[in-house]
Parts: sequence; structure tokens; C-alpha cells
Amino acid sequence: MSYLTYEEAKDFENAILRCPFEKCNARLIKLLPALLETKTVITGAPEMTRESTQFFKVNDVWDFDNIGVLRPAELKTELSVVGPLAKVERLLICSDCDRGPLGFAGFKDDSETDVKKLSYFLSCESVLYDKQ
Amino acid sequence: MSAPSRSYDMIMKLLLVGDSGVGKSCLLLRFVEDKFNPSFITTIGIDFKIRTIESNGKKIKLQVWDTAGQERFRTITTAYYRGAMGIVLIYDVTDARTFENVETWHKTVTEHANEDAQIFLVGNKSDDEENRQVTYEQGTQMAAKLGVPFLEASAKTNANVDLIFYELASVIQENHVETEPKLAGGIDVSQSGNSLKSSCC
Repeated sequence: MSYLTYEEAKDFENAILRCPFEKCNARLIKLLPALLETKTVITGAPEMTRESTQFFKVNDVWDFDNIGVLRPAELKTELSVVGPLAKVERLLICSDCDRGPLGFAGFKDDSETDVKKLSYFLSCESVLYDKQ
Repeated sequence: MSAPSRSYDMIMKLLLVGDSGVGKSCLLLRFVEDKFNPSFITTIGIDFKIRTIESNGKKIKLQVWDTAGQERFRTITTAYYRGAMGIVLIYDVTDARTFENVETWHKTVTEHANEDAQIFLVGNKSDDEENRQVTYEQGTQMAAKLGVPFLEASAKTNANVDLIFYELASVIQENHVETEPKLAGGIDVSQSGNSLKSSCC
């Protein structure tokens, strides 16, 4: 089975987003219309698996079928504010093969530390699209 | 009519606890020995993972937390316990001291975790027979004494690692059906998953 890259995929709705790495391709999340609508351009994000400017915003971490969330770390970003986030502190990886980064997470409020309030962004360019 | 957006039947928060050095973090890493693990992951470390598994025909989302580094900070660890439905208590079969601390850990866990949280005892590093200090029988006896299920595993060879999570999820699933017979029925099972959602992470 072959999966499409972001550039190849024409129709995104309801595609299964998968880990881009060979021999893994684990299912990450389903691109439901509501998630597709969240697609946004973000500049100055941390370095992803593939160069990324487009991101899906995942509102609830439980929406992911599979994802790995790293511990907070000082991440190098070009800008102090990345998209809506005042503090970017976590990278997202595939929970099956541990490779990435496939996305990042952080807080809108610089002083926030509550994990429950993390906002998650998944790189559109770093994942593969499975139209089944 | 809107299509159901939920892609699971039940969610479970699970914790990995035990002395430092028993390999908690390794149980969360998929391929410890593989060269392709980028250094940024091993340096920073994984906080938690969401994994979706199928158990008894139900789709279950697991959120597995590594408590490594928190061992000394009881108060922080207490926050970790909140909402946890399953706790994997890990010792190192090549280090008898970590086995001796199992009962203390069990006591801490039962003090802080939800009353109905399911504990699961795991002896890690079972591949290292040469340095083994704790026998399989000792592990079994300890588990019987504490009244919890038991497995030996090896994060290094990946032996039984997945099994830990499948077994634990299955036991929790069974407990849940038993304790909530009045809520039985396909729809209500997912509703109970939903209500849990607000109470854990």
C-alpha cells in the first residue's frame, strides 16, 4: 500500500494520517473535517521531520490514536511566539517507532505548566496521507 | 444527525512506577537498541504516549506515563496518580534491592492511587540471566502476596513489553464490566469512557 505525501494528496478529508517512516507508517489520527479545518500556517516552528509551515491543530491529546509526547525541553525556535503559542516546549514523535519530530506542543500562556492545557500541532508536511 | 467522532470505546491512563534504574523509560521506548533512535529523544525522554489497542473487540486508548525522575518527589508523583486506572510496578530482576522495594512501592501506590486502580507487577531485564538476582518464582510469590498479576519482561529484547499493556488493559476492562453491570450495553461503555475523560489528564 502506498501513502501520499502532503504535496501528492489532493483530497485530505477523512484521510488517515500516518507516520512517514518506512516499515512503520503507524496510524496517528484520522483527518476528520473538523481537524482539517484547523490547518494553519505557522512560521518559526521547531525543526520537523520535513520542512514544515502547515500544521493541524489537535485540541485534545486523546484525539490521537498513537502519539509520543516528549518531556518539556528548551526548544530552539526562531521566534519567541510560534503561531498562537507563547511557549513551545514539547516535540511529538511516533509512538510506534519513536521517530520524529512529527509535531510540537506548547502553551498559549508563557507561565502555564499544566499538561492538560497543552496545545498540539501536527506537521502537515511530515505525515503521510492514507485515503484507504 | 452528526456522525460519531469518537474513535474509541474506552480510555485508560496507565503509570509506570518503580525504583530509578529499573528501566521504566525503556518500557516506553519502542526500540531501545535500534540505531535509528534520534538522540533528541533519548536526551529529552518521553513523557507519555497515546497508544490505541484492540482488546476483546473494543478499541482502547492507552495513555502511558513514565514517572522516571519523579521517584524522589512524592508530591509530584501524587499528581501523576490522579485518574490512573492502571499502575505498572516495575523492578529489575538483576537488582535485588529494587525487588525489596516492591512492597514499599505497592504501599505508596495504594495510598495515592484511585481505590480501583489495577496494579501489575513486572520484573524487567529478564533477558539478562547471567546477572539475575531475583528468580521468576520470587516474582510470582510476591505478586500472589500482593494479589496482583505478574509478568517478566525485557525492554531490551522487547519480550512481553506489549503483553504488559494488553494484559493490563484487559484486566481493567474486566474490572470495569464487573463493577458497572448496570451501565452495561454498548453505548454506555463508551459513555463511561467519556466520563473518565474529564477525570484523568
